[in-house]
Amino acid sequence: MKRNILTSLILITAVLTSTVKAYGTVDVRQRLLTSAEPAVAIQKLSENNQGVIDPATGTHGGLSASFKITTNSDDSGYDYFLTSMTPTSVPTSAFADIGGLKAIVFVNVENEPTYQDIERAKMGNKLNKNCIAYPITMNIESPMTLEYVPENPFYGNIWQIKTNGGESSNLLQTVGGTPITSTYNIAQDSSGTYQAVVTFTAIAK
Amino acid sequence: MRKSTFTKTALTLMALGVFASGAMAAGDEQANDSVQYQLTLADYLKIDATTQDQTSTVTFGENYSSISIDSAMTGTFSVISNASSKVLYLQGTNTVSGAQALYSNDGDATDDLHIVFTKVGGVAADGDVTNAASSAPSKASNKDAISFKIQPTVSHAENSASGITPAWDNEKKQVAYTMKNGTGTYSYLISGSADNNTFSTHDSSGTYQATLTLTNTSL
Repeated sequence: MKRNILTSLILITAVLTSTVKAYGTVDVRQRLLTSAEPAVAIQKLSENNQGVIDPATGTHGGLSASFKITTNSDDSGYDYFLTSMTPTSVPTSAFADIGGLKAIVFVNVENEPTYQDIERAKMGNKLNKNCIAYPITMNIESPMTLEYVPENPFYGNIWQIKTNGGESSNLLQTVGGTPITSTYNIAQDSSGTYQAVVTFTAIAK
Repeated sequence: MRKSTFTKTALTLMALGVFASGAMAAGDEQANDSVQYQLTLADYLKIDATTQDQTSTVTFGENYSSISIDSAMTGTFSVISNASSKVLYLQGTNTVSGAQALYSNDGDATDDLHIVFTKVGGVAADGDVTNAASSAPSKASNKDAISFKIQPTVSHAENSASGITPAWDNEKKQVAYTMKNGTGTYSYLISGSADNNTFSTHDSSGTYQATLTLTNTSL
């Protein structure tokens, strides 16, 4: 390779400097190289994120949101996951597995529950003042897959996505309208605004 | 989309600045987007009278100078409220239209709460009720009106730590209870003898009646 380059340089030099008439052809080739860096995009496509709770039953009409993930990297390049941290002074994961039912805990933002109340709600314990848990379902288009992963060291309970070589998929999450038994109690849960925030993140490994 | 095509597209779009918003960029360490769900829980209040109408016969004292209730009467209300703060009012009425039957002369709505019964179809007028409810009633001035003491018991099971302190409103003749969200039981016992100087021969025989109301609407 070095020899070829040297030859080419000599030839180019000869072409550029020689006043002697040349009797052959000179072929100079340049090879252009570039690399595609890992890239990822996450975009919220739609949301039905507002609802009204019936005080008598704790039910609402259901909520949902969809996201699109696009990446040129595989699972070795990024971690892909959904988190939900409570909007409280001591944040904790709002995702839960209550008796096998995947759930998300909404908290009263005007009458903030304690950390202990939230943790009890996540266990289905009825002492969960100003917390209400609703079932949540997640679906992502193939070949990507997702699974509930409890107790991530940084984010607590999360939903983890594997791209499995896929480059673009839509994810749909749905919050059910019926509260998980024992997490809604009209005598405990004061009126006001209940909130939960779900964030879809991709972070380079 | 094949990977090579995707890469070419991504590079082209990046070159054009399409991903400048941060939605997607080559070499980015991180990308994310969020949804904030919000549910509104409206105020809820339910007040139920959990006891039927209370009735009792009465027994006269010697020389018709006193009267006492034979069977104690207790009116009980159950309350469910989800408001972080809710004011409930205890009000009293009797057969005299417009009369404010409930009273407390020293302003203690726990230990000094009374109600004036009036005779159904009797002659009591507003002045008779007012006299019976005064601190110095006069037998001749409270015809067909008899006053009894009320012994309230208010409990608040889910929120006992907050307590409920009654406040007597002397202008509107009502008791105000400020309760936090939770369930509560409000009981009112009426028993024993009539208040001094509110029973006499000026009170003719018949049925005497008074009504207690627990509501969230002030007079």
